Amino acid sequence: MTREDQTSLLNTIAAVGLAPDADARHEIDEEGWPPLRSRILGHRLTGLALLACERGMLVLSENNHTELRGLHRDAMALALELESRLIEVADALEEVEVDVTVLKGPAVAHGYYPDPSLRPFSDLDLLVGAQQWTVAVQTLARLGFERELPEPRAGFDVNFGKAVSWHKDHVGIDLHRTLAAGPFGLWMKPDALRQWREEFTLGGERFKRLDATGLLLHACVHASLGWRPPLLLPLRDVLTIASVESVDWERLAGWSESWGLNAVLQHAFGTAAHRLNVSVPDEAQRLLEAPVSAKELRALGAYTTDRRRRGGTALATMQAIPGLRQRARYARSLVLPERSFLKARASDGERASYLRRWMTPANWLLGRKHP
Amino acid sequence: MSCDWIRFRQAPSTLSRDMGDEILVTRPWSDRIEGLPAPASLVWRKLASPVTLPELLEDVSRAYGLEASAIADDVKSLLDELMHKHLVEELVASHD
Repeated sequence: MTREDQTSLLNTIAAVGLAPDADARHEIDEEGWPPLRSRILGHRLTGLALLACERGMLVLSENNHTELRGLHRDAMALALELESRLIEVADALEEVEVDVTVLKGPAVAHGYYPDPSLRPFSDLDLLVGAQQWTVAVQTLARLGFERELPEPRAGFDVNFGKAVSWHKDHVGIDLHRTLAAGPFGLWMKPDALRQWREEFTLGGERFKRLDATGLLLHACVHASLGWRPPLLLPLRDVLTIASVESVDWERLAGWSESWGLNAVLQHAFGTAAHRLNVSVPDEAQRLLEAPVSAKELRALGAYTTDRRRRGGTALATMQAIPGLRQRARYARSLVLPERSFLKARASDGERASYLRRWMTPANWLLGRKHP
Repeated sequence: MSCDWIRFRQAPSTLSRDMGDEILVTRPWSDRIEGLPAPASLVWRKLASPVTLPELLEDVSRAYGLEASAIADDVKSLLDELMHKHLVEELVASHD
C-alpha cells in the first residue's frame, strides 16, 4: 500500500458514520499494518478505525485487530483519567470563583459524537476570562501542576498568548485565554463566545462548554490553524458538529465576519469536505461564499503555508497587534524574554543565550530550520 | 443485598467508556480504572437504569442461555465488588 493509498484510507476511516459506508473493503497485510497503525495513532483514529473494522470497511488480521483494540483501550483509559482530573481541577477553580469553559476533547466527545469512545483526547483545554487568568494560574500551581514554559515577559499571557500548557504526571492542561495563536486569536472575542454556553454532565458534575455554534467555530479554528497539514480528527469534529441542528448559522456567520475568520472557516470546511469526502451542510453556504479580505488570506497563509516554519505566525501576530506601544511590548517579549524562559527553551546541554534566540529570526529569513 | 426489591444502578459519579467487548469504568478522584469484560460489561450496561437482582439475573441468563441459578453467585459477587468500589449504588424502592 502506497502512502497515498494509506492517506486515502485514513480519510475514509475519519469519515466513518458521517456518510453512507464506502463499498470498498481494505485488507491490510502484515507489512502494511505498522505504518498504517502509526498514522492511525497520530491522527487519534483508533475508535473510528475499530468502527471501520466492525463495518467491514477495514480488514485486519486477528493479531493486528487485537493490537488496535489495545491501543484504543490505552487511549480510552487516558480519556477517563483526564475526565477524572477535569472534575478535580474544575472543582478547585470553582472554589475560587473562576468561571471555566471546557473546550475540545470532553466537550465534543459527549453529546456530539454518537459514542464518546470515538473521540479520544490527550489533554484538557480550559478557557478562562482574562480577568480571572491570574487566579486560575495560581490554582493550577497549587494543585501541583507545573507550567511547561515560563511567561516570556510579565503580561505576555494575558495580552498576546493563546494558552499556557501545564502538566502533572502525564496529565496535560492547556489553559486558554483565547482559541487561536496569532492574529486570529487576537481578533476574536472569547468573552462574546462565553456568553453562549451550554451545560453537560460528566461523572455526575455539571460543566460549561461553548454551545454548538461556538464549538463549531472553535473546531474550524483548531482544524485549520492547529496543525499543518490539518489532522483528521479535528476535521471530523468540524463535520460532526456542523451536522447538529442547534448550530445557529447566522450567528456563526456574524462572528466570522466581525472577527476576520471567513478565510479560516472556509479553509476548515473546504479541507474537511475534501479530505473526508462528506458535503458540508447547505446552511454553511453563506459562510462559504462570504468575502475574504487580503489581510485574512495573508494571516491564514502564516499558518497554512511554509511561512509557518519561518516565523510566519509571530510576524503575522505583530502586524495584527493594534498600536505601536503594544507591538513594541510583543517584540520585546520575543527578542528579550526573561532568562528563565530562555533556559526552559534551551535544549539539553545547550546554554540559554540571547544570541541563540536572535539567530532564530535570521534562520527564518535564510529559510533554515532552527538549529 | 438479598432483598429482591432493592434496585441497583451505576453510581452517578462514575465515568465510563464502552468499547464493545469491554467497558472501562472509574470515578473522580480515583487512580484506578476497572476493565469490565463480558459478561460483566452486560451487567454494567443493565445497571444504567435501576434494576433489581432478579431482573438482572433474568437479563444475563437470557443473554447467555443459562439458568439464572447458574450465574446467581457470580452476578452477586460482581455487584458486591462494584458496590465496594463505589461504582454501583443501591436504591431502596417502595414495595407495594
